[in-house]
Amino acid sequence: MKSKFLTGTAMAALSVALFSHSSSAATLDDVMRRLDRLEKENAELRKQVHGMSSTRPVAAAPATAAPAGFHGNPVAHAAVAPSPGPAPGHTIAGMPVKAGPLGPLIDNTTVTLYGHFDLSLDGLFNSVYDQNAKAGISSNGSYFGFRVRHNLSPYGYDGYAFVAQMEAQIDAAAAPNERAALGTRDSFLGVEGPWGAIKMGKTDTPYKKATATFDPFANTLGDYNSIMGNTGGDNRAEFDWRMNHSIWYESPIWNGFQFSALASPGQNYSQDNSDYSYGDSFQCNGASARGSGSNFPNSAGALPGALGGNSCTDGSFGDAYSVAGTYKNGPWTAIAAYEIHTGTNRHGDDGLEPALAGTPFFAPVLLGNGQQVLTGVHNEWAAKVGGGYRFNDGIGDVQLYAYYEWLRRDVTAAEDPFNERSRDGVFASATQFYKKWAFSASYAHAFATPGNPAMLSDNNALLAPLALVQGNQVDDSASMVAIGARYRFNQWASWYLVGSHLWQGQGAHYCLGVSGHGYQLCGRDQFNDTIGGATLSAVTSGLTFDF
Amino acid sequence: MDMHPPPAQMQVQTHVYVRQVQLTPSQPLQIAPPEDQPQAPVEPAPTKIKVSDYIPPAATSATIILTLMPPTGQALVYTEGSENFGTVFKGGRSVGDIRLDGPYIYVKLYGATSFDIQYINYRVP
Repeated sequence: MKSKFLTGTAMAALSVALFSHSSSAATLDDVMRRLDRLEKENAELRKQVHGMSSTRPVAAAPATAAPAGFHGNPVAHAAVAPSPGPAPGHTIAGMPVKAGPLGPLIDNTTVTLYGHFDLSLDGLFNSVYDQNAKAGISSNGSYFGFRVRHNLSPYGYDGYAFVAQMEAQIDAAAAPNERAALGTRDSFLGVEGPWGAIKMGKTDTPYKKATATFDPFANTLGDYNSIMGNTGGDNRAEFDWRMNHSIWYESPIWNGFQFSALASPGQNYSQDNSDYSYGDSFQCNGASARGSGSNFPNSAGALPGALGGNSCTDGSFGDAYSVAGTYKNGPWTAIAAYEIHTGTNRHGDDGLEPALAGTPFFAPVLLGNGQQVLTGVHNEWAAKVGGGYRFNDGIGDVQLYAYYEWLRRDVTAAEDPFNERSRDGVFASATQFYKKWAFSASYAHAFATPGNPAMLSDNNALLAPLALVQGNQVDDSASMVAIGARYRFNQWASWYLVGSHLWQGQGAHYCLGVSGHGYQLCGRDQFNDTIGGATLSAVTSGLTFDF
Repeated sequence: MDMHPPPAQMQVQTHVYVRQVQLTPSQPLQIAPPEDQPQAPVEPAPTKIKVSDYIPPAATSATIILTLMPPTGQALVYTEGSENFGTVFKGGRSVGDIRLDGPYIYVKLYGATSFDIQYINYRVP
């Protein structure tokens, strides 16, 4: 480039010399002086460009409004900008590099560090006879991650990039264990382009993400997953899931519409998904890490045996598919989503896992009235439709959301009396914004299921161990309300206060704080007996910080 | 053999040189203007873009593809009050994450005359 510059300069000088009719030694000197001055100006300009610091104050130029009718995708013409480019990046030994001091020295690659902290002080109020009121401190869905994007445009693939992400849960308050290991949350490698993105790894399903913005109390003890997406009550929301070993597609946002689809092979050693998936050690598919159904040693319901133990009988599923379409345009939001978990093994409820025949763990389960429980292996699926609307009521913006959900387990007629996985649900929320405040309320309701496979316990110290309440003989519907306020210091830091209350029929065992809060408040006594129909309340106040 | 085009950082530097050799012999007196007319760099005026039509207000970042014309240009995308933490996009068409803070973003063009934004995705905490 320098030679080009010199050539151009020489040509300019030569042209001046040839075409200047009043050429003389004095004129040539003038040209040389100008060239000298040009050299100095070049040096000065280079010095200014290199001296532009990322922290220098920049005078705010008046913004130009986008052309009328601009919706993001049309070409928007801005003014010609005869000015230097943005400040150059970092240099090492005088050589420009593409990443910051902490980033890799790979050309056209950006590294983004990001994270989210949510810690709360909770007051827990449980109607279970030996639980009463407690205080707790919790880390709620906190995480840390980095995203690396390798831009392929300079290599001839215009608009394309490789993108990788590694995200880890941060149990900021709990005792450390491998549940918060690197890569425990959305982690993937993929390709992005004008047509969208294809990624492989693990991620929140499209079904889960479709209504993620609907819940103003996400990750608090008023989280809507106490009921929504939660097929059996308890502390696992099967259809609010981060899916392991998945491949998925995310479309670009086209006039507000976005489509996404995910597939996850079961890759199970066992035909009925009663074993671990390939690559998943001591962690049954469809269960949270170390959670109920995971078969992690000493976790709830865990049986002895490693690979080949056929102990994944509490919701372990095979192939899974999830799709969602979302539409957001101005004040309107609409969503539709569907997800299916094939071959979901529920033999843990009926004790009839065929692979365990001949062991002490193969035994029929009888209810109080003598009915033999039959649950088996069947597909489970969920669908939901909903929408939102935002308007200004003179005080500030008001955001309304609502959706209806169908949860189903495709059982035979003989298994229907024990089916606690099929029901409908409904959710609604409203938020009034006022300056930096947001005041919200939400309501969720779980309709009754066709059946129940369990014997629950009375809320009584003497009767609880006897488990005398037959679940399929009593109501198992449930409702939850939550109210709260959030003060946003800015987009990245906030304080919140939330109160929640859940009441349920005697055959139900829903919890507060499912799927996001650091722990759940459930109707369990100190012996882990499930107390049917417990009333649960909580108040929680916490801080969130994103970076 | 490395057939890659020059790295973008080098393009920044060459851009400065190119601006100088655009001077032609027919305009010799414009090469060096009088010293009483200093040529201070002019910051381009940003273009204000409303993103909240398509992106939920709760989103803290979004992935976009920015197409610049001419492709040798660059753009800085940032939110109000956070110009120093903006994302630089280098033409012609490149993918990048932008931070969000409210319903608007601002786009400053450097050496580009027009741009196009394609929203790819967004993230909610």
